[in-house]
This record gives sequence, C-alpha cells and structure tokens, in this order.
Amino acid sequence: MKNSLLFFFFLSWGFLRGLLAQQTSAGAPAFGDSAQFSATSAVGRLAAGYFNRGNITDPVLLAQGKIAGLSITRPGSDPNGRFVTRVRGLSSRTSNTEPLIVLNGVPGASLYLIDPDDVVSFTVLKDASATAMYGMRGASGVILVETRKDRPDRLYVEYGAQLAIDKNAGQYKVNNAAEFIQAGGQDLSPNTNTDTDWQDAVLRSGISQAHHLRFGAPVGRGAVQAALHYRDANGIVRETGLQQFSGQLSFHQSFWKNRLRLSGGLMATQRQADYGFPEAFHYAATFNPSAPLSSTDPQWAPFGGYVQPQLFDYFNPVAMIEQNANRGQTDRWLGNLEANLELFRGFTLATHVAQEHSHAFNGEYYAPESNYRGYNQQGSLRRFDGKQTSRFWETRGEYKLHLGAHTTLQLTGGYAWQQFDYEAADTTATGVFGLDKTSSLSEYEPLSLTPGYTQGGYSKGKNTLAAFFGRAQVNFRDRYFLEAGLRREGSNRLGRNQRWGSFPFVSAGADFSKIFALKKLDHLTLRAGYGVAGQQPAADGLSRQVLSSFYNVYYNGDFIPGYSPSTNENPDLKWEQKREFNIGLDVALPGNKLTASVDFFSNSSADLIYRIQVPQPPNIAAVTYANAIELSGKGIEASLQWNTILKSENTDWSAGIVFSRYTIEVDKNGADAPYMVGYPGAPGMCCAQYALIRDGDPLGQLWGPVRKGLNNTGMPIYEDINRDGTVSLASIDVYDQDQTRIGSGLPKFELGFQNDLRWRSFDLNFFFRGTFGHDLMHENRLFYENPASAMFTPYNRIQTKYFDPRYAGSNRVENTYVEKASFFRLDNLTLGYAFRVAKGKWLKKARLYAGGQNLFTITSYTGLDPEVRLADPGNTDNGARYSAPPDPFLTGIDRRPTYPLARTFLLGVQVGF
Amino acid sequence: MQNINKHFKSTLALFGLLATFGCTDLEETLYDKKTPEDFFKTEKDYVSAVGVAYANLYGLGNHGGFFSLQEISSDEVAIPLRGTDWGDQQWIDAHRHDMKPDQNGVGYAWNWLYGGIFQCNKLIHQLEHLVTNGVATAAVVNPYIAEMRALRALYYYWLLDTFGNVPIVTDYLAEDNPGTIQRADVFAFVEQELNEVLPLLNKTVDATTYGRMHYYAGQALQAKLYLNAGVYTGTPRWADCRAACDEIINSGYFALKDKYRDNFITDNQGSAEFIFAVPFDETFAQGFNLHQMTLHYSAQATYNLQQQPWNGYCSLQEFYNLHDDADERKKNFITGPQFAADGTTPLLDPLAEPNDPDGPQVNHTPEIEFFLSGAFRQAGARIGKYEFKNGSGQNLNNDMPVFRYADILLTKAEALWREDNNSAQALDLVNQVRNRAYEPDQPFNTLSAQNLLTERGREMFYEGTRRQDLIRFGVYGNPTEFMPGSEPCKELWPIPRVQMNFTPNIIQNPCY
Repeated sequence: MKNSLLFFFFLSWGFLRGLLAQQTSAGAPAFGDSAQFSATSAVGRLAAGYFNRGNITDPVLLAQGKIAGLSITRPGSDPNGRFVTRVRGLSSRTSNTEPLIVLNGVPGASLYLIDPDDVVSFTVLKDASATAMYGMRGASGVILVETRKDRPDRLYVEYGAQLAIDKNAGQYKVNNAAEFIQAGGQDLSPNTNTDTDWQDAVLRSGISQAHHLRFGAPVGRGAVQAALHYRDANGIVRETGLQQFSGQLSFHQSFWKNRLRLSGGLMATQRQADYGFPEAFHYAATFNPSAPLSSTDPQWAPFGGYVQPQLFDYFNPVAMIEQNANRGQTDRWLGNLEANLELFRGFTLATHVAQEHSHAFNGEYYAPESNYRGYNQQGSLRRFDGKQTSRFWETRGEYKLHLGAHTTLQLTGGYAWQQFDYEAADTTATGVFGLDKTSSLSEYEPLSLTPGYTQGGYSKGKNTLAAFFGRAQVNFRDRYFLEAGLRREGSNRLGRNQRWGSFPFVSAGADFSKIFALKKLDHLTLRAGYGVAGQQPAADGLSRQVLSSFYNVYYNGDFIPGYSPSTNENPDLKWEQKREFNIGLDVALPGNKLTASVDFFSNSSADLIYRIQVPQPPNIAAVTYANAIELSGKGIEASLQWNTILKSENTDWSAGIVFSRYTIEVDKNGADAPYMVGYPGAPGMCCAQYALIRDGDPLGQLWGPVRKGLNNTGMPIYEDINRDGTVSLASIDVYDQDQTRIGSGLPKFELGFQNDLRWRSFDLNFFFRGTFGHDLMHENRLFYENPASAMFTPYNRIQTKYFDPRYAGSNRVENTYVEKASFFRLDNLTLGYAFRVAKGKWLKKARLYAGGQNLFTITSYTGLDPEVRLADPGNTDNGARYSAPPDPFLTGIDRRPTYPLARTFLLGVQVGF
Repeated sequence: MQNINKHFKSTLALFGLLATFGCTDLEETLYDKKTPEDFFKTEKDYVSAVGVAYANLYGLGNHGGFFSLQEISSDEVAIPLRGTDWGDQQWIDAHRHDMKPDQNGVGYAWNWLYGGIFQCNKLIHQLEHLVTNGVATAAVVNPYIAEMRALRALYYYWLLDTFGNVPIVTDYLAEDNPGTIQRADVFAFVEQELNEVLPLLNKTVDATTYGRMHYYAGQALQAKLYLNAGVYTGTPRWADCRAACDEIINSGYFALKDKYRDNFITDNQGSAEFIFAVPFDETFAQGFNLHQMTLHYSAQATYNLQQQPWNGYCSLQEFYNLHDDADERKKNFITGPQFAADGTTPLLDPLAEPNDPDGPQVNHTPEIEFFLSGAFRQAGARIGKYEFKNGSGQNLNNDMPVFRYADILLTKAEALWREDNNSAQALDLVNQVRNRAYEPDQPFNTLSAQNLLTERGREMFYEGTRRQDLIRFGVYGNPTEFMPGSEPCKELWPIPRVQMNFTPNIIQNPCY
C-alpha cells in the first residue's frame, strides 16, 4: 500500500509543498538526526507526499524515479523480487554496489524492517563529499531513511486500507498446438484437438490487501506512537506472494529544560513469503501446447499424471507449481535508543545505540514425481536457516560557536562502532518419501526423516567496523558555506597491513541571491565538493590464505577431507575507494514557487576488489583477492519543481521533473587482457559470451557479430568488421576480429515526471517514468525464435515481429537479438476524494482513492519488460541454481526466467480520528 | 539546580564509561574457513594437507593417460578399434610402439606426472613456509617434507621409466623452466633423493600410513629403481636392489596372501601384500574405472552396473596363452560366453556383427580378428583381475597396488638370478610366488630368462610393470601378435610436442 496514510496526514497542500521546498533547497543532516543543513554537497530529498503510490511492498519502490541520480530497477513484478538500487551508476564490482541504508540513524539496517507506510522521507547523499562521512561503506552512495516520528498534541488514531488486483500485462505469442506439430514438435495430445495455453495455466489475477493502524499521543514532555501493519500480496504467477505483519513503537522525551533528550524505538516485521517458482512462466512459454494439463496415460504416471517429456531444460510448468513448494519466513527487529545532552551552551554530547536482528528460515520441497529437481533424486528437500545480528554504537560531540556576529562554526567529532554476526546453514537432502507439499515444510523434521544423502553448507562470520570522525562547518552570513572533515575507519575484513583507511572531504557553497541581494530569488547557490569514500570487502577472509577441501584422503580407516590452499594471502588488501568531484547549482524562487537544481560529477573508483586468477607457482593457490579494477564515471543530474502552475482557491497544479545521465568507463578490467563475460547457457548456447570487458571501453557494452542479412538458403551473412576478407566467428577469442559493440545495457538517461493536481476535494496524482538509450539482449528470442534448429523443435517458438521463417542458421549471440529498450511508462496514477469533515467532530479525516500502476508503456521492445538490467544473475538451466552473485559488469541481458510484468488496479480508504 | 548538576555528573560518567568500551580491535577471526594458522595442529591435519599430492594418484585408475600407455604399449593389453568406438588412432599406435608426440594420451601422461610433482613441490614449499611463519616447528614438519620428496621421487621414477630424458623441477618458486636432463642423471637424482629421505620416513605400517610413502614404500621404490638401473644407466645395481628388497622382506610387515585373487577384491584395503597402494573409493576417492574401460556394453546386465561400460580394454591371445588352465591367475581374464547377473540368462548383443561367428550371445574369445580394421565387438579376453562389485557406479572401491610384496619377491629373485643363474634362493623365491597360484604346487626346477619373464607377466598382469619387464629382458622390440617389431629407441615415449613449444630447452627423444 501507498503512503496514503502519510499522504493523508500531510493533506494540507501548502504544508506539503513547504516540506518539499525545504528539502530541495538544502542539504541533509549528515549525522544521525542533527538537523543541520549544509548547502555544499549533492543531496536529494524526497518527502512522503511525493512518494510513488500503489501496491507497494518494498519501501525502496516509494522513491523509484523520483530522485535524480538514484536508479531503482526490477524487471517483472515478483512480489518477493528485490530491486537493484544504485546511486550514480557503479563504483564497485564484487563489494556492495548498492547505497548504504541508514534507517533512523542506524547504518546498514535493512529496509525490510519496516512497512513502506512507515517511511516519511528519503535523503540520498550522492557525491563523495557527503558520503565520505560514511567512510568504509560510503562509496556506493548513502540513503538516509526516516520513519514517522510525529509530535502530536493530542491522541490520534488513523486507519488505512487498500485493495489491489494485479493483472498480467503481457505474454508471449507462441505457436498453438497445430502450428507446433506442423513445425516438427511432438504431438502429445490424447486426442487431436488438445491446445493448452501454458502461460494462462501458470498466471492468475493476484489480489492484495493492506491494512494500517496508527496511534499517537503526547506523553510527559514528549510523545509515544505506535503503528501496526498487515499486508497480503499475491503475484500474477500462481503461488507467489507474501504476508507481512509489522509493528513500530517509538517515543521521545526531553528532560532538564530540554537539555537532555531521549528518543528510541522498536520495530519488528515478520514476512512469510511464498517464493514459488517465478521461472515457471518461462517454461510455460516454451512447453508443448499439444500436451494436456493432466493425463491418465500410464507413461506419465511416474510424474504424477503431468505430461513430462524427458528433454533437457524442459519442465511442465503447472507440475512445477503444483507439486513443489518454495517458502520462507523472515523475522526482523531493530531496537534503538538515542540520548542528546547539552553539557553547556553550544556543546552537545550524543550517543546512539542499536541492535538489529534477523532470522530467515526457508524451505524447499521437490516431490519425487516432480521432474523439476525431484524426479532424478527421488525427491529433495532444502532448508536454509540463517540469522544475523548487528550491534551499533556511536558517540559524538557537537560544538557550535559564534565567531563574531555573522559567522558560526560547528565542530563535530566522535567514535562509531558496529559489528555484524551472521551464521547460516543450507542443507539439502535427497530421497524423500511419504511427504506431501504441506507437511514437507514443517521446520527440520522432514529432513531428519529422509534416508537420502544429505549435504550442507555452513557459514558463520563477524564483520567489525570502528571509526573516528571529525568535521568542521562554517557559515558566514548565510552567504558562504564551508565544510571539511575526515573519517578514519577500520574494518576487520581488510588485509592486516591495511586495516584503517582515511576518508577526507571538503565542500563549499556560495548563495549569490544573498551576496548580490537578489530579491527575486530565495536561493542561488553554487556549490562544489570533493571527497574520498570507501567500500569494505564483501566477505570475511578475502585477504587470508584459506584452506578448502576439494578431495578426500585415506587416513586410519576413513576418508577425511584433504585441505589445500584455495586463495592466497593478500595482507595488503585494502578498501575500495571512490574519489569524486561535484559541482552544483540550486535555484529557488521566493515562497518556493519554483525550485531547480543541477549537478555535475566526475569520479574515479580505484582499488576495486576482484577475484583474480594468478599463476602457480609462485602463488600457492590459483586465486587472489586483489585491488585490481578501476572505473571512472561522469554524469549530470537535474531536477525542477514548479509548484504554482495553477494556484487558486479551488485548484492547484504542480509538476516536477527529474533527469539523470551518467557514463562509466572501465579503466582497468582486473586482468592482463580483455575478456568476455556472461554465458547464455544451454541448450546450445553454452560457450558464447555476451559482453567484452576491456580497458578504455564503456561499461555496459554488449559484444558480438553483426548480421547483414540472410542468403538465399536462409543462412546468415555477417559483417566483415575488420575487412580482412573473411568472417572469423570461430570462438570467443576472436572478439577483436569480426565482432563489435552491438548494444549497451546501460541507459543514456533516465527521466521522472510527476504531476499533482487538486480541484476542490479531488486530488489527482500521476507519475511517468522513462529510461532511454539502453538495449536488451532478448534471450527468449535468442533461444526459441529459431525455426530451423532441430535442437529447439521440442520447445515452443517465441514469435515477435522479428520472427523470420526463412532463417536456417544456428543460434548465435549477435546484434539481431539485441533490441532497443527505451521506454516511457505511466508508472502510477491515483485519483482521490477527501470528505469535508467539520471541526471538532470525532472523525477528523476521511479519504477515498482509486488508482493503478504500470498503466501503459511506450516501447519498441518485444520482450515482456523493457526495464534496464543493471546486473546479470547468470544462467540457470535444467533446474540448476545460480552459482555466483549477480555481476554488475554484465548489463542488458533479459534472461529467460524473468518474472512477468503486472498491471495493478487498486482502491483505498483512509480515516483519521 | 543542585539536582540537575548531580544528574549532569552521573550522565557524564555514563558517557565516560561508554567511551572506554570504545574498541579499535579489528582482528579478523574466521569461523567457517580454515587458515594455516588454525589448521596445522595434529597428524591428521598434516595428512589432510599432504593428501593433495596423493589425490593426484587417483588418476592412475582411469583411462587415457600414464597407466593406459604403460599397459597398452606392452603385449598384455590393447584397445582394438570397435566399429566407430575407440577410433582415435593413438591406442592402436601405442600398442604398435608408434606413439606420436602430439597424441592426447602422451600429453595427459606427462601432465599427470608433472602435476603430481607440482603438488609435491607446492606442499614442500607450503610446509617450509609453516616453519618460517612460526606456525609449526621443523621437527614436526620435516617428516612430511621427506614424505613429499619420496612421493616426488616416485613420479620422477615413472618419468625416468617412460619418457626417460626429462627436466627436473624441485623448487616451487623456480622461475626458469629447466631443460631436459639425460636419463642417467634423472636416475642419479631419484637415487640421491631416496638416500636422503629414507632415514626420515615413517617406519609405521598400519592404517595411519596406508596409501602413503612410508619407509618400506620408499624401499620398494628403490628396489624397482635398482632393478632397472641397467636399462636406465647402463650399469646394473643388483646388490643394491637385493638390499632394498631385504629391508622389506625382513621387516615382517608384509606377507603373501593365501589366495592370489584376494588382493584384488572389492574390499582389498590393507592387504598384507600391499606395500604401497592407491586407496580408491566409489564415493570419496573416485577414479578407478576398470570395469567401464574393459567390459562389453551388454555386461552392464552382468554386474547390474549403473552405467553402460565402454567395451575397450582387452588382453591378447599370445599373452593369454602364457597361462595354463591350472593357474589361478588365468582368472585374471574374462573369456567365454557371458551371462546376466542371474548367471543363466545369456548376455545378448543385439548389435553384434553379422559375420561374427560367435553370434549375438556375448562370447569373449582371446583371439581378436581384424585388430586394425575393426575388431568384433565381443573379441578379446577382458580384464577380470579386479572384482567388479555388483551394482557399481562409474567408480570402483578396489584399491590399486603400486608396489606389491609378490613383486618384491620376484624382484629379489631376479637380482639373485642375474648375479648367479643357479641361485637356489632365487628359485625358491620365484616358486613361493608361483606355487600360490597352483593347487597342487607346480614349482620351476630351474630359472631362465624366459620363465622368469613369463612368471612376472602372469603374476603382475595389469599392474603396470610389463612394459618395463619386456625392456629389461631385451625383448620389448620383438614382434608380437599385432606389433610388427620396433626399434630400441621406441622404448622411450615421445615428449609431448606442446612441451617443446613452451620450453625450448626441452629436447625430443630420439626417433620421434
């Protein structure tokens, strides 16, 4: 559900605009809740009233497209699918590529702790002069997320509810049964007229609901408030969805004439997820349409009556969903307490302690009859049980003093410490008898009952960070601003010779509207900043010589694991560091009728950690984690908000637009030579690769041969790119001969366009979002469009406008399957009506609304979702699992198992007492 | 105000207390990974670590490399062409002593041997590093370094025996690729290494040293080295050979098994006859695939195998005929009509060649017709020396002996006989081994080159010694069934061509 409640709370339009204006005009608090704005760095703020609206289960979606420089993407509409979030492109490969989340001042906290309805603002620290204050975790940007902390003057109760329905927004055109058989496919119909639409068979309308109840009351010299949320969200692929309960309790109090202020809170969320099988849709698109939904033919009895030919990467999608289960529960809580004590005038001592805990328990069950991950192992079970605890403590002193009448100097210094403990076990057993889909998921018991071979993975670790920081801020007559500081931070994940890094920053601003006394402007601030932000390694032990076991050795009657070095020691493994220069201009008209800002940045990210292959000898192992990759980036961001397009007693119209563009270049690719990344996978495409990573090239390029056309036998003719008279496509080693750049996975620019209208008691809000200039490798075409290949005859054919029945070649990574994927989409639209309520009545507020998400998309892309793919998860075929984390160096691959896209319609109500 | 001040002080004290907890200790502790610092504590840990060099030996039991070439280039084993299967010419060539420097098997053999040496060198480097880093003391580490040098000596002995003139690498960090060293110098290197490390090797013979280069395994290696010293250097070393054999014989740890074939059963681990063996396991130590390599496709039904065998390796009629019917060791061959697991249902090969006189029931004849042009699918006696467990997967559980006590007895006998053709002790030793295979005993009355060589052939079939024995007795180049005769220079294998591309100072052997 939307922030409808919050929206409601701030229903006063004037107040809302004021809030936004305040936020666009100035920087953000860089420490906890010290509400000190600096006008020197690139900071984007978004308040509740401007959040995205719709059936939103993931808090980060509230900000998608709304802040210049912040990219939030997720292809498809899997309710459990995670968004990829990036600030200003990319500044790491193997470490954290996503911005650091600071939730109510607690760094590294999960956004899944809270219900989206609890968020009140996002503040994005974009340039390194702002993020350097987050030291070892600041290089990929920082997002400060604040939850509602009202200061009510009376008891209030609010309730909101929303009902939404997700409908399938598009599916693949494939052959019907007759066409499939005509094209050489096997006829599996018990009678001649079976024609099954497998895509329909796995899709549904997903009904979702959300309820929010909130209380607040003044207590003592402060307030207490509590919120409870329930949501049940269901995706368009059968058996995918989630149920979530969450609660939040917060308080603040002041003592001793406001010299001691205490605040804190407790938040907890339980999510029960039905992860299901999003890949079922992909198998549905290509499954044999002449097969019936179920069969009594004895040949299919071993598969539980589901038609299931034994072919590679060929699974009955309905059986996949109905026979198996993939569910989990995650419990999270976070408690924090913050104290501020004004020791003497101008000097405040503050301390903040927090603990966060999460526990995830996921279970998977594959029936013995399930051809997908079950049949060949007599059924299988999997359990993942993981927990993580983080403890955080920060103490700081702030001293604000006046140097003369017009100059203030604020000094801040402190210490911060945080430790993450995690432990997880991942266990798989095969040979499962006597279980059914429901009983199989009851904790560990079924696992202990399986007679089969059980194998498990185990992980446990501790990540500790400690930091000292200091900063000075000067404000001269509100005209000139200067800020400089240093964070010195250490992490236990670094090499023993490089455990502490220094992260300096300096920035300055000048408000020309004040300097030149420009009456027509509220602000005209030019700012510039430079900083160095860092990123710690992604995992424990990367700098150490680690012994691993790949074989067994006989010893004293048993075979014991034989341990040998798997990684080399690198005591000099250091943090990744991003250096960034930013220059920006902010303009605001008086009364914030119009605000605008523009930023330019240039950065270089060096010492990026990569797993490099090294020769043995001299190395004892073939792998070293080293600071090997360098990237550089440039970009521009602009935003404009016009709040008085129309403004009268009955009518308001305001609109805003945000624009961002960036480019990234690979300066050092981490190897001695250019290399390719990304395998399409099997069948038939195991050994081709998608993208060339070469020093000096832009990140995001797709690479391959260029088809000029077909000859008269339907064979493809390729461009002789190096003009040597022959076309050499034999292997990936010839990337520099007759292959070239055939697309870019990264967009040229991103755009968001928001409109807010009011007419009497009606309000209308709609938001367009567009991404332009990126391409997608349409894998479903690459694999399943081929009309000639016998290897693909069993798979139903994906037919788009590009389908060419004359084609007689084999499948190959080439330009033909790379499509332009620019799109412009009506992301969400809401129409509301606020009832007039008389003053003094028990009912204070009442509003009804209706809306939709993803209402239409303008694009030429023939796949299901033209959304940019910022990192590639890799290929999975034939029931295999992803073997490595997504690679952000490979972009623009629309992988086959992508979840389909939904269109959402919703209705909601909000009342306040 | 008083009150506020009091609170102030206590609050200050609280902050002060918090500050003292301020911690800057960032030592990294790994909980789910092992590092050298927390690993090398017990004997078991060291065995686990040096195991990587032994795990390389799991490559001894499969098809395609060193052991395959040792066998196939002798007169006891061949892989004929069968239809389109086994059509890569290299196995025919190997059997006809016509190996080529760019054939796969030659490269695999070389890479496997040097891969083992690489692992030994790396472990020596790793173990030495433990001492320099203060993780362990030299006293603890040195026996394992000696063990790795002994194992490395075994790999060099194999190189010495097959490729002959080879480079020697002993330093893991050596930057330059060393060039070819003459065979006699390789011999000298192996001899010196063994002399240096033998006193340091473990003299315990039990389950904790099984499958490892203990003292007696080192002595067995030395015995075999000296047995062939005449071939390797031109100077025989019979007395040294005998001395090494005596160390083993007099130790009392080893004895002949009552029944020959008990050495090769599925559960043959720890046989008193094994001085050094590779401990295979169908799950934990995979690599012994003999059943797949030799059995007929249809024999999947005989042993209820999980996968279809490959119908490759078989023995040859001339060699088979060296066995008389009373010889227990004739059971090393699978011949005659074959049956399914029930023992009565005839095993059929629906794809049997129409002109095969044996018809569709699988019938293994020692005779192989059309060896070069495409043998019958059923032709050739199959290698049945090892027990094939019913229901086996791709890998067998049987351990593979590298040095066996019977071999040491025959080795000592030969050394004695070479020095004195009428040695009664030599005759007695040979008859100890021979009589075990007969019921009642059928002892030799005298020893000759002929009956010594054939006795070794029968006893040591498919244990990788036949090629070496033929060379030592000077008959390797004599024509056999399908080998038209070869020059003496073919006793050595060709150096893989790719090695010479890598390293210019590696020199090809003569006549390649």
